[in-house]
Amino acid sequence: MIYFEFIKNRAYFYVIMIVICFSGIVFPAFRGLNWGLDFVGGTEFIIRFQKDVHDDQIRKKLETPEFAFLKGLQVQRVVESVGAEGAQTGVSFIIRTSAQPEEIKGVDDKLVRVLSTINPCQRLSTNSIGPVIGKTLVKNTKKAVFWSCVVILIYMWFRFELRPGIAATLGLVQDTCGMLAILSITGYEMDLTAVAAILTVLGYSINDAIVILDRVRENLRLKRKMPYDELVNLSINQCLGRTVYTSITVVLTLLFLLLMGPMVLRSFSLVLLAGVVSGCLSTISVTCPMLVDWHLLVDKPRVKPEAQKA
Amino acid sequence: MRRVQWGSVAILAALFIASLCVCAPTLRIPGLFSWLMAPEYPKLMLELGLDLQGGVDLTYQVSVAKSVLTTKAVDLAEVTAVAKEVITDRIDMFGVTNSTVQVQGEKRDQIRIQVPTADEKKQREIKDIVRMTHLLQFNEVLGEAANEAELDTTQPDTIALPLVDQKDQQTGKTRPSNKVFLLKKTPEMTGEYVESADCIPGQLGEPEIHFEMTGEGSVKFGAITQRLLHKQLAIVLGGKVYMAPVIQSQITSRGQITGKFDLEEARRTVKILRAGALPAELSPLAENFVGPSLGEESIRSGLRASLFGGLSVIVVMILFYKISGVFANICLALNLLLQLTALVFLGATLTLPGIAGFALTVGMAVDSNVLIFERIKEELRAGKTVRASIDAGYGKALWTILDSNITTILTGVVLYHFGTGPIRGFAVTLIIGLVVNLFTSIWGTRVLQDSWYSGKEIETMSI
Repeated sequence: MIYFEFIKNRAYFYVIMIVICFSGIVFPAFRGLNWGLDFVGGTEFIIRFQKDVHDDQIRKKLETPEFAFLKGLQVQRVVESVGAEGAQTGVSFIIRTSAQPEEIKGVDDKLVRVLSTINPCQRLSTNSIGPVIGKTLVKNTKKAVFWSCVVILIYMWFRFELRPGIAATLGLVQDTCGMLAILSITGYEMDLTAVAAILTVLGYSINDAIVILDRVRENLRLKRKMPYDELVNLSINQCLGRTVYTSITVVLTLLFLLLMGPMVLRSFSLVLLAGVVSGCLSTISVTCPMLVDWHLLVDKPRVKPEAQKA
Repeated sequence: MRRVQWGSVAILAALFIASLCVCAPTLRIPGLFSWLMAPEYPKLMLELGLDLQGGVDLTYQVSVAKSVLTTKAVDLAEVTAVAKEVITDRIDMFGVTNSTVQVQGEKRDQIRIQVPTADEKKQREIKDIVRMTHLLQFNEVLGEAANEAELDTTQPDTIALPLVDQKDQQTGKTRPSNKVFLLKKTPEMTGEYVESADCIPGQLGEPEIHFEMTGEGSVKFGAITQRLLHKQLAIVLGGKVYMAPVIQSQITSRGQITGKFDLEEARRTVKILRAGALPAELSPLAENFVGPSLGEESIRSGLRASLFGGLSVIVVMILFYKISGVFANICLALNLLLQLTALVFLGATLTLPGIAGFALTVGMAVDSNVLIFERIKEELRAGKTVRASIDAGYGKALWTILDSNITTILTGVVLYHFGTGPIRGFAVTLIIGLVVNLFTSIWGTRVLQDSWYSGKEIETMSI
């Protein structure tokens, strides 16, 4: 049977953890997040051209006095999903501006008319959001993340003990940092669905911790003579098959969703993908090592005194 | 030695077929369930959300209209509630099923309107009509005929408008009316002067419509009714004539409409008299228009991604766990069908994040089986018999599975509570998926595995 020394090498995992958490703070802080319309407000048109056009052509058409109200204009080509019919029928562009709903009244028709002079095009959707919605959303998101963590912590406390609960919740911090870092690095939009994905990962990542913590608890009963660190390591290894196989199935479904799924769900799929991988990692790299170190620092050694040196 | 649990297998099979039947219209499976498609059976369809079938989603901030001069303090929530009624009536005119108008926001002073229609012209009309402070008109009737061709519309300032769809007294079905009015194009007055309207039974129990004009309106209406005495005045809304009563006497502040109409028609007229004037000003907070092609593509790519994801999971499970993997796959299919059935019965709408929730549950649902199977493998390695390994595997994995599913369900509940619109759809599919998963993966695969390895004592297990 394959057996890895996860716990003995936990110093490396701590390094990984620090790197992930660090990038989760540094990247969003300096590189920033590509905040979606839901949060910052503004207007987004999705326009499909029959033939390929250059985004500069679009920009030139719209940077005229006629469209002066389209402030902070951004034009972005949509990368079609693999195997999408859209790739044959045309090229889509996302045109984003900070113009408020009140300012864009009836502009769709004009926009399509003007852009059609480059190449025949059609409007796929218009989404316009004012600043009030964004503020409510930020407030609700903060509340949701907070309450998710509280609910999970309480449940873990109730089912296990406070200590594994806290260790597992700390693992969630790494997951959240990992997802934020990926969002910042790739420049994918931080929108409503990305928030949903982050929250889902919080629940999913805890799954992984629970599976291993359950095993630790079981082993504590079965193997009374084994030192704590060895026992935790054994538990991780016993669950390794499950961790790998489950990750494969979830990662496969998410990869298909990311590559072939609708463009609206790109951020969502990416965040979930990063979160699921991080979720498996965080149990091994954060929750379990913390549990072991906590034990070694606070409790009396379980069997052998030399275990304290580890 | 154990016997095949035929009862349980039968329950599984029955659930499979029943859920397939419920989902047949939604999945558009023709042939096999063609009798279900027959018109006499009620169709249980999973409605598609705005983001999938196209539509408008408008959110407005309500403030008291400048035109409404009031001396008393105005409760904004109350105004919003009235505005909601008015807007609901206006949206109803478009006859789009599943349109919703809701009041939202902490102060209950926002109105959200969702109309699932892919028709871009309708979308634009809806946007325009919702915010109009007054759209009810009273026009002088110049003539009427069975169709527009018989009317002389060449005269200046005339317009031909049809009578609104009428309900057949016998069949109860609405049918297009065969009456067109020739009207004076310039309205005599607009609905903003209508203070209130109500439907009251008259002396013989026949319905009467009572209405009241505002102070300014009384003066105007008095002049109009005097000028058009014994002539018809049409009540026009959205390009249709709702009623064209003959003015019997001069009316100033209070008036009533009597005649040959039933309660329903009276109620409808009251509704539009009220819907005519919006007591509030609406400023847009968010406006979202989704054209038909975007939704179609989203469905197609979403389903294709889910399909490929699902297929890959099926292949992986069989590669990893052989026959046991097949059992897990059967239960996965049952899981998805039951999930869909639950959504259909809940009357939920399927949104794009909902599809994502579906795809995600495919990945997560097999997790429980992976846990169980890995445990069984371990027990087998420890030298236990097939029977004992299965028992131990399911027994020991049970609490782990419960714990892990419950935490995800809890985050789903939090997501539902704080989320809006499509996110709620995602939360609902996630929660349903996990609950169903507990049933199919723990009980379903167990039944199949127990039955497969029943009978003679089996030495080896395909896992």
